[in-house]
Amino acid sequence: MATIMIVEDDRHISRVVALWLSRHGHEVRSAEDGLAALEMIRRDAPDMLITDVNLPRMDGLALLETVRQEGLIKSQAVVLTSRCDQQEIESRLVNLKAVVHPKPFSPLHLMETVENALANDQGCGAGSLADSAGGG
Amino acid sequence: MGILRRRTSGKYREELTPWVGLTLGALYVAAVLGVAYASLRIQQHEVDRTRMVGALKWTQWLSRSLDNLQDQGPQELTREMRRAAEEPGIAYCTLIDPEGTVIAHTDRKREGKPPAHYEWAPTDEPGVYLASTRDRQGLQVISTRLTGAGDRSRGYELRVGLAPHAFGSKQASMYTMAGYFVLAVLCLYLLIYHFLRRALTPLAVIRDRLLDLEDPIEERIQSLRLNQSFDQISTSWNRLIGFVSELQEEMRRASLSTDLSAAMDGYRSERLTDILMQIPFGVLVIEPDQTISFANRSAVGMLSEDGEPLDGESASKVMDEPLRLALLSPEKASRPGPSLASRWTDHTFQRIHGEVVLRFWSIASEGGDQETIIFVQDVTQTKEAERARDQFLYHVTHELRTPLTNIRAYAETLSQDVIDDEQTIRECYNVIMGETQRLSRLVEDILSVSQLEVGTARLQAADLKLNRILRTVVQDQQGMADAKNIDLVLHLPSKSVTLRGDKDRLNVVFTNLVGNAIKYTPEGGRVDVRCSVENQRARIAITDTGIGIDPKDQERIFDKFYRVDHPDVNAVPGTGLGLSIVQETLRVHGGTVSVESRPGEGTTFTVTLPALSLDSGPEEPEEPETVASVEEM
Repeated sequence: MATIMIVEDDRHISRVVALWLSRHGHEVRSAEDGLAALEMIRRDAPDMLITDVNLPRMDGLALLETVRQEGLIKSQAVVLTSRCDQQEIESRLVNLKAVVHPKPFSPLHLMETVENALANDQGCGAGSLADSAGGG
Repeated sequence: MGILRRRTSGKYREELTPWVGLTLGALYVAAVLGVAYASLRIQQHEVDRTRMVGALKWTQWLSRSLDNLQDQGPQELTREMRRAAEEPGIAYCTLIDPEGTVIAHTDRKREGKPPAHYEWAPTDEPGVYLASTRDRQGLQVISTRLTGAGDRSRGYELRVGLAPHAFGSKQASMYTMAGYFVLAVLCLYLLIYHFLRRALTPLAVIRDRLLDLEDPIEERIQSLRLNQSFDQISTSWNRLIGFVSELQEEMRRASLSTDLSAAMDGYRSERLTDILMQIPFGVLVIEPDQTISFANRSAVGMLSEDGEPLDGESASKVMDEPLRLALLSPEKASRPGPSLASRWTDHTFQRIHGEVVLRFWSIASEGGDQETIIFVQDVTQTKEAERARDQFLYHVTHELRTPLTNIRAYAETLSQDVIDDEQTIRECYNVIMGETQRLSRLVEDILSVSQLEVGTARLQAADLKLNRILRTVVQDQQGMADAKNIDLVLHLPSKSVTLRGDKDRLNVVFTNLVGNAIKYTPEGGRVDVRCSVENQRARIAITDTGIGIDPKDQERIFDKFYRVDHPDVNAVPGTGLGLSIVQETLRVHGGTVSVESRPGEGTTFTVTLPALSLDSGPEEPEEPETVASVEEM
């Protein structure tokens, strides 16, 4: 069981992801904008981050960069996006240890990614995960 | 020469005046004859005088010797008289006594009757009187009356008949010869005149016509021709003229052809230059030394920042080095051909009024060492349109993905039996339903704004009562306003406003505006919808006490998919197309929309539409009045 931070401004998406994570036995923290999420991460130190890209106040990429710079979350992150410029996003994710799930995504597939990431994080230790940016 | 006469009218023609020559000839002959006649008369007068003197001398001798001769008898007298008659010039002699009897004569046949009347004139010789008369043969007769020589001779008359003019045959032949000579001279003159006339007439005509050379060339050539009466001269001359004429015509054609060709070349060149100068594409010709030898108006407008002509300037003035390398290198420049259209170089220029994107095509001339022709097109707007299209697609895709994500995620949730409580399952279904509607609305909005923009939107135009539309809209939005405890107040004019338009689309316009006002107004606020008429235009102002719009956002809120980046805005679901639809719908109705706003205080959207008429009568409501707060103004 892990604590997972979900940052998504669409409450329906946030809700369904939280529903699936709960069913998989994880504890969920939710935020609707980047700055609120950063504060919660600093406060709660979750194990994993699932974030949208387009967010009010601070977008998901900036949030992830800050999280990595501050070393707040070690495990692989999942970036959800409905943007078309996926290549640009992936280029910004290099060295940020994140995997992209373009919208509309499959919750089932997302859960697999989450479980794999958590398993890798537990098995290999923080920072040893292969950078899978561009995958998914 | 007198025979060649030029007419005083100035127009010369082949004409001789033969009578002039003939008159002169006749005058010449008359003069010759006159002189001859005068000479003859003088000579005759001299002879007559000599004969008269001779006859007188003889008469004087006779009168002196008459007395003695009478004594010798008539025979002796006759003999003496015959001797005297042998004197030159004397034809005969007759001696008549006072009684009138002929006593001696030399030629009986010629004696003749004495004249009836004498006018005797005294002579130097005393007693001798002379009278002159004519005998029956017309010969001059000199009668001498002897009155004083002696008594015996008194009253005797000696009549002496003078011989006809005794010009000899020699003299007569001389005068005949002179006459023939004169005739010969006259004939010679006429012959010379005739031949001269024949010879000189064409020359005169030629001379006259050559003098007329100020005439136009065609007439000149034709007028130089001689008629055929001049035989070989005219034939030869006409052949020469024909040759000259043909030569002249050939030269004229050649000249005309050259002139025409030059004129056409000049015209074409000018016309092409004019067209080149006016076409909306920039055209530049750059020489191998990178000097601009030609730049049309569009090129100057696009490339010359100060608007000064570019002819003679260096290409470096208007193009930086990378661009020059791309356009002017022989290996980079295109060859003329169909592939040219697809081989361009875009370059962005920083101008005072902003960025300008120019597209260049360059054509290298054959051989590579000649000039380069460059076409320039301003593609700033095309680029912006492309950018707008890409942006639109980007936004459309983005906006479509969100409801699709929810539909897929919730449907998968239901299908994977992730949840088992009924309420959550119902929630999932509701989300799917809601997102499906959202998706549908989004698609409709996209279609609507696209059709309005492109001009393919079909408008169901009808005469509409604006008051009624506004009432309906306000009525529909009343529930949402009530939910947020917002006062929604409609202010209508006392007169009903009629306008022409599409009812459903105008409904959408006011629904979007009133809906936005309610959405972005905090609870307990107020929204006023005011309708008035100014200058035949209906003016509808929707004023709220909402969050307001930042000035930098006010310019962009009508852009498609633009949403103000504000938490309160993000909290409200929306496609970012509502105001675009408002603006485009009003545009096709001849209306306008504008915004005034102060952040934190509120916003007023003002719509104007052309009004058809104002009805003064009370408006009959289409349906029962249900709007709670309607204020009549």
